[in-house]
Amino acid sequence: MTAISQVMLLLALLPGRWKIGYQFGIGMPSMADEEAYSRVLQQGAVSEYELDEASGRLGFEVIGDLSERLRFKGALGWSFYGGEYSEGGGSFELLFTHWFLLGLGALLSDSGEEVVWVDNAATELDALVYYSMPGADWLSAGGGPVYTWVSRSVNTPYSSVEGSGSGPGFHAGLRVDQLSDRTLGLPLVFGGEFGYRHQKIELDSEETGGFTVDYSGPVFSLGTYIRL
Amino acid sequence: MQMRRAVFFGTLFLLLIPLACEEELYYPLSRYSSPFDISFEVTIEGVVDATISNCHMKPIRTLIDSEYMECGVHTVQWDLLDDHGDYSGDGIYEIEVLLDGDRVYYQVVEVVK
Repeated sequence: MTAISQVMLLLALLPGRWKIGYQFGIGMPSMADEEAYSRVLQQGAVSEYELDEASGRLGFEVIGDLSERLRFKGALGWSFYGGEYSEGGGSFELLFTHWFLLGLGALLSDSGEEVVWVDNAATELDALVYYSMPGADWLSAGGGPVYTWVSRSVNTPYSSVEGSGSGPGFHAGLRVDQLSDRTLGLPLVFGGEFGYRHQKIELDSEETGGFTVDYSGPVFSLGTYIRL
Repeated sequence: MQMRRAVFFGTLFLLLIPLACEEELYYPLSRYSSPFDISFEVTIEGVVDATISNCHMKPIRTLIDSEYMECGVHTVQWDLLDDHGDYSGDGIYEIEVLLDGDRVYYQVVEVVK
């Protein structure tokens, strides 16, 4: 029996209504140190270096009713944020790539060759409790602790330097959940959330000490679930 | 026959154009694999500090520690070692020289051994 099927069996045996699914979202992280480092690169060598506009988020969620008013959400998620400077790919080569691929070349992530790129990745474990509003059960507000493992790497075609760290944080949010069991005859339900996360993690090795990967900021996510 | 040849050479021509247009990668970072000199100009006498920081913005080497310097061009060498005398490792480094707290030299370089 796989781990997922064990979790689904356990949730099915628990009292209350439970659902399991996945979510995609975006965040607007603070990333003050990353912004400072982007200025280092811009001033010192690579003036065209750019940071991402937002962080990408995805994960698996388990949501259930603990009581008439209390709702629990457990989540295992991943967040990504970075910056890069790529060279080339803006000329005839790109034009012909698009032409040969009948325009599908636009679906390729980056046509240029990466020169400098910074990757921040976070693995997050959430345990959150929400209070559903009387008279509007589909709406709930709450929050809880988050534990995050982060890694940061600075890469070029010739070198790669990585740092990592972990630490606690918290999440507070407002959820909207579909109350019915099905959508258009399919056993799928939807939900969404707008919230704020405090997730400021300091890298912990001797070479990286002091650098903070700060995912703190507003987050927005949409989820698709199946009821158990 | 002529039509087939025209299609063949036409396709070959179109396939070769991207190769002909391939540009050499512009690499904006100066790369060093051995000790190198850092030259800077002191325009007014004052106290000079020179530090090397790694890609996590942590200072790893102090080249000049609050040294009084007279006007002129000065040169200091970085031997690619950190303050512990160990090889600093491959990666991107920030070099900053301050004169009385004001930046007089700044560069970001890559070290690859």
